[in-house]
Amino acid sequence: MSWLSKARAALHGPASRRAADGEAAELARYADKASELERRLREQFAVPSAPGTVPLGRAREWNWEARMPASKLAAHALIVGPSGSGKSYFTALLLQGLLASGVRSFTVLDPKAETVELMKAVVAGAAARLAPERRRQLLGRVVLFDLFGTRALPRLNVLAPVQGLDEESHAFQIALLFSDMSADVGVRQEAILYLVVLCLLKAGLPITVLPTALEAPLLLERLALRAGPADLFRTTASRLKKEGRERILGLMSRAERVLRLRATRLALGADGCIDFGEVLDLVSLVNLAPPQGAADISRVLSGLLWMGISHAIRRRANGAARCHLVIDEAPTFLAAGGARMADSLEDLFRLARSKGVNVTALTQDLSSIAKVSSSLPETLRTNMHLVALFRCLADAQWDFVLPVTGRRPKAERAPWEEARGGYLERSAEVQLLRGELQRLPDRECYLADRRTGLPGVRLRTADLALAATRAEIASLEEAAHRHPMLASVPELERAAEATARRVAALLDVGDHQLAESDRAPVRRARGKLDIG
Amino acid sequence: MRLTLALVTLPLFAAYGAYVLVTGYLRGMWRAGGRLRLLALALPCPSCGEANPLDGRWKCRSCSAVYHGAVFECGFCGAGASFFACRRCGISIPLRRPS
Repeated sequence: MSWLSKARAALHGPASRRAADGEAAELARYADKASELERRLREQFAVPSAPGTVPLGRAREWNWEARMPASKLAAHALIVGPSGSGKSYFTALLLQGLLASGVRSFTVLDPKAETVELMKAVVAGAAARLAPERRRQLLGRVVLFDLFGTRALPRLNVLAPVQGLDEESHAFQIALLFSDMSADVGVRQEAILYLVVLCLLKAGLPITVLPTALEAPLLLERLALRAGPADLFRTTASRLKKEGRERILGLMSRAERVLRLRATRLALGADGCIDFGEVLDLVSLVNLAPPQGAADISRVLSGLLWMGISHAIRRRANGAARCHLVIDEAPTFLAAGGARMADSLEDLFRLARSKGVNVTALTQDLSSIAKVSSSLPETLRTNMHLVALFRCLADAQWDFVLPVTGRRPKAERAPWEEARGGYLERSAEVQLLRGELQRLPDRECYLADRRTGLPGVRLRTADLALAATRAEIASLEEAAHRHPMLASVPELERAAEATARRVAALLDVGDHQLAESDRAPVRRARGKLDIG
Repeated sequence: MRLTLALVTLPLFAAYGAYVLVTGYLRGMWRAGGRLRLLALALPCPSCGEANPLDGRWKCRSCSAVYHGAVFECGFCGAGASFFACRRCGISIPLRRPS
């Protein structure tokens, strides 16, 4: 050791100890940086267990219980992950927490029937834990819309007047939904469809009469003699007569395709329409799962439902009581209305929160949403406050969710490699976390609250307390099917028959009074009427 | 003759000797001053002014040992470094003054 080292050791103490201490202090400084992130995430996601808090799961990296106040869940949420990764389970977990904290207004739109089944068990379980009076109150708020059911169906006469929506725009939206069923509907066909739908709307007839009105323009001429805008009825009838038969047949076949299922005919032919504003304020479980081969009908019904719901949201007062709208398989749902519906969804996200509606969208990926609308994925990423990412293809779009701590150690070196130590650089850590995101096991996700400006926390989602017995679930279904918003099948059959009789009366004209060209269509239309 | 030569060159030798002694002393002082700087715990960077600690984790270029200690002397082989990099701007900070 040189005299200099000896002199320094005498002055300041041993250099090696000082170096080791300095290094330890430096490491501690880095550790503080990482623990600062953990501390802030913990503040957000690990509030102490108390009434009004919702358990979310366990933070895998730091091993603490993740829990959020229910008030913070009053936000738009985006849940992304492949089938079976735990999206529906996590959603049910959130809704269970909300139910337990007293939230009684949420709507689940489910095109697969899976989440609705899970939610039935969740709601039945929550009801079972309540005192009898409160249980009755909760069960009284549950309504089960099974659009292809056989017991009770919602009244879905979509041509019934809607408060705050003028008839022209109402008819336009319905006509668009029907013409969006297939891409080959021409501009002239769209115009005819709009006119006929408008006539039916003004005459107070349901959409189930559409094929008859297209088949027999006489119906509109006869309506002109009764009440309503006679000019519109006559002009539409004469336009129908002038149009090529093929065009009208094309429209008729599309309308008949939508109405080919009895349940759909009964629901759409009801004597009124449910109030979608009320639907949002209840515990509404909407099963849109179509029977085999009826996916096209489900798409149209989804579009009709979305139209009603979006109008109800727009109609709500600013600052109305909070409700949650869960859209399972959002791309399937959006595909029903195409880009137009996606655009309306974009508008709605901007509007919904001020109207007290929190939207939760579940999707397998954003690329399937991009097929419907190229700007919607960006809107979702920007407007969704809570983002839960289950196993999914990771690219730069999800980097904001990844918790980069600067404290992930480099891999162990192999004996023949040059010595390396310390922690991964930021870019390497991001790559590592992207890889982890792609390999997440089922029921693990990164959950981020974008309002905090913090990245996400990796969670193993908590277990659902599915303690409801089959009897309790059956009793919930019984109560949900008896809800006044639903009509029994015989009741709907009576309404359909009344409509058919009304149409038959309109078409009840002796052959000698009919023009030659009207006779065959009127006979065909009469033959198709479902009377007796 | 030899005596005369000795008498003539003696003052020259004396002057040269004095010169060598004085410059040697000054050079020694200069270099010692440079070494004495290393008694401090940190050296300022001549470029950015960052105080760079002399004690830390270093790797000896002579024996490849990684050691905790002073930068100017390897704790294993005793080899001395002549410069090290500023931790802020990366410029080389000399540890010895040129002779």
